Amino acid sequence: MVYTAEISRSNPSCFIFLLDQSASMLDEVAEGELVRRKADVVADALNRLLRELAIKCAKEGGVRDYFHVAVIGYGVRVGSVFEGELSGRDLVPLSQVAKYPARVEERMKKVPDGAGGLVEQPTKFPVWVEPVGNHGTPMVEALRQATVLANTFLATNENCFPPVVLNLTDGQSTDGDPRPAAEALRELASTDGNVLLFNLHVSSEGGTPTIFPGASAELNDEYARTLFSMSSPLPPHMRSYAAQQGIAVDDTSRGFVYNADMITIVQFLDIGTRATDLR
Amino acid sequence: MRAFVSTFAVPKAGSTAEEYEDASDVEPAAGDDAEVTGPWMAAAVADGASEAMLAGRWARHLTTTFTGAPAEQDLATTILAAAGSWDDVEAEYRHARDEAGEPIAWYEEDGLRRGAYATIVGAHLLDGPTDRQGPLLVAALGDACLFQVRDHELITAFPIDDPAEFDTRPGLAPSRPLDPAKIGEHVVALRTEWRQGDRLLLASDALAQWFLAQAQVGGRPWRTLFDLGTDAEIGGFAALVDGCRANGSLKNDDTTLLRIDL
Repeated sequence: MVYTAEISRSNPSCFIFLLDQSASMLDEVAEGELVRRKADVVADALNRLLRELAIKCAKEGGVRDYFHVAVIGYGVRVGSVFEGELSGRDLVPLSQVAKYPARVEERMKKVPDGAGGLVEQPTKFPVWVEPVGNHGTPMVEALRQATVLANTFLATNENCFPPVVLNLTDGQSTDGDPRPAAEALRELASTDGNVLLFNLHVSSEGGTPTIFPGASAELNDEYARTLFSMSSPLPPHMRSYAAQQGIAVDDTSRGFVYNADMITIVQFLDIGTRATDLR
Repeated sequence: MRAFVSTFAVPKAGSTAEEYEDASDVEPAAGDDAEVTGPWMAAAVADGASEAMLAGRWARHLTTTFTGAPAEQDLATTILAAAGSWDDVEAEYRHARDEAGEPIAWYEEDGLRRGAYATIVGAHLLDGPTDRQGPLLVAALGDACLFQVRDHELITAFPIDDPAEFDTRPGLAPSRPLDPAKIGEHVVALRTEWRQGDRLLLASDALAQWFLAQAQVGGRPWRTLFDLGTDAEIGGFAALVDGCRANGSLKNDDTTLLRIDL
């Protein structure tokens, strides 16, 4: 139980994203001066996570299948939200996810100009999921489906780096207490460790954005406290990496963020020598 | 000087030979296990970072730029010279993809824009007052290592001498440096001496870590590496690598050894 398994094409891991698509996700949340619907925030976060994951695993000749990926939406129904070529599929090799976004937008992105400044360049930005918000929040059923998928993956990848499940939500489950379902999911394990359940909480309640809080964190929102309790403790190497990124963590830190970004988790995963600039 | 040069390379298990992203180069050029004679020699091993695009090409570009550079030129200048011609290497790659009807995909653009990264260790050997000994100039960025063995003893391990110091975040030479001045801050150099009879081993990180771990517990891993045969027996290195990967003593990574028998 050490979270040190090699992640490779012959020993892949998996990512299961759970995306809250309930009506409450149409409520607005303030991000500094920007006001956006929660559904926009989580769809954008998920699209950026998938993009980062594909770029991290891209080599000349294509994206390598270091991960298999599922995106389960929960609202009117619970199930895969992939569209087009991937429609209806759950765990999909990352190369296929990269190949078949629903559409590709062009956005302006600031990139280093090589002389210490930034310059705007057009950047292709793939979109797999659109913002959706209606009906209730069947989070318990979503966690159960994640458990089935993780179990299926573990049956044929018993020595893998454990599946990572990331739940993006405002936390208001309407089909019961999600904690027992979360516990059942976290109890699944490969020989390398238990399934990791992380929660990205988007809330209209305000309060300080929080990244990977520990036991002493003061969470002012009931749903935040529930989601924090459902989240896996960060394994030591992830804490170490978070600390190197300047994030305050301790040995009680959990994979939970409140009104904040979680793109860091893509960088938590070691697929080989990291491409980092000298500091 | 007179030296026999041998190179050994095994890709990461699960990868093909085309996906191997280490590189090595020696000048004056010689075939494998060939004798090199002359007043100077340059050798380098580089290891492309697996998360980067075109890492293998960058590693090759770095090693050939190093072995083609003057002995007294510092490594930071050599890296910047290689980075200065990286646009040409990338353009050639883009052209080849276009020609093959496989234009660059969105997920490759970011990586290409960011550039490639690699560790490197290189050595210049110069004749001294005689052709039996002389200056040995070693420079490195990152965790590729040079080992020098004399009279059956390890006398130099550079730039790392402790197997605990290896991780997945070594210093890396960038093909598109954001801050060129930083390269000089991270490059390390050693000026020592070679003598006839010495053996130099340049290794990428997985083998270097294995080597130092064996040495730390009283082993003499250089003997194993000296016993590796000539080109007719290169399978010997693959077998060694496979065995050490299987027993967990060698990380599964591209594995490269450049051996110079003086």
